[in-house]
Amino acid sequence: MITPYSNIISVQTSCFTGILDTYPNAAVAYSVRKLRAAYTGSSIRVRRSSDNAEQDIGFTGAGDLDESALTTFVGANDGLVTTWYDQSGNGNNATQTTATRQPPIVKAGIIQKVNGKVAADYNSTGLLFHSFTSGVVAATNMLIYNVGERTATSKIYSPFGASNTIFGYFSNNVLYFYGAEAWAGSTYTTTGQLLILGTANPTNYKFYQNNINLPIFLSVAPYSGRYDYINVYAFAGQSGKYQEGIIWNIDRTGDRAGITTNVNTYYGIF
Amino acid sequence: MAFFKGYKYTTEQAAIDAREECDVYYGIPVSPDDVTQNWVEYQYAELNTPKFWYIVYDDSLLPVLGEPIEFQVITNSPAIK
Repeated sequence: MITPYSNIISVQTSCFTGILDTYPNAAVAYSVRKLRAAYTGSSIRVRRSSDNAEQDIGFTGAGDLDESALTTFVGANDGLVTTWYDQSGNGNNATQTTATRQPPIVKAGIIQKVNGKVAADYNSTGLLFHSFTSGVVAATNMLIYNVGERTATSKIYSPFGASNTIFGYFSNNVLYFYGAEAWAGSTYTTTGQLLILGTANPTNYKFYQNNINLPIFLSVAPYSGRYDYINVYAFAGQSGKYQEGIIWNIDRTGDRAGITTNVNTYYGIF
Repeated sequence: MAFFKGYKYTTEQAAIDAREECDVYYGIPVSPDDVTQNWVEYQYAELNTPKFWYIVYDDSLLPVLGEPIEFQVITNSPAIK
């Protein structure tokens, strides 16, 4: 006797698709959301202020940061980010081994957020930052972006930076890309949640802030620069909150609009 | 040029000693496997004359290192054309 449909096999598939599933091959990728389906690691590692114990915090099934796990671990204390795990697959985690340089993501039991999404708070008179395991050298072709909150003008807001390189605002309110190879043609004082995105190919640099193309002054090659940190330029202070940042060292100029839409759909920035 | 509030040291060893005082006070590291290995870190003002080492102020340092002072550190800035 043949049972109808007896050969049908139930196949479970994940319906989750992250931005790195659509736009793969990132050099580094940090976020409070899951960025690709195959990534099985955590988002961040957190130290709690009550006893300095540390714990990894992962994602919910929907790909959001697991706020329940964060609250359970930290309780009514502060929670400080020791590590942003690299979701690109390159193992390029961004760590901070010094307690007083770790940004809070929970303050007195309250999870810090920007526009409803969790954010690490790098606002400080001191030096809050994370170092990559291995710096990323700026490539001829590149797309780099950050989602966070610029909280003040005339202060450094550098989502990615190094000792002589910056992607973000310097204290003169000029937006820089690489070292001094490219910079915006004017000063900008927009604060609040921003998607700052830069693209480079052999003939062109471009800046976008909340999907608006900013005029740019452009010097000539050689391309140079290296990104080693989240939210720091050299050892000057900075101001801002951090939610997500990705660098591709390949030409993704043609994907700029799609990447922008993906990010904005999740964070609701503009 | 950047202005900082913190603690200045004329030798690196003095800065290391201050860092260790803070580690002992706060019990860091809790475990050798933890990411967090120090409570505070010192920096080198190599562009200043004379050169010095310093720790940037944090409220948590007050009971360990005492009242901070203010000082200037020479830094590089992106070129503006």
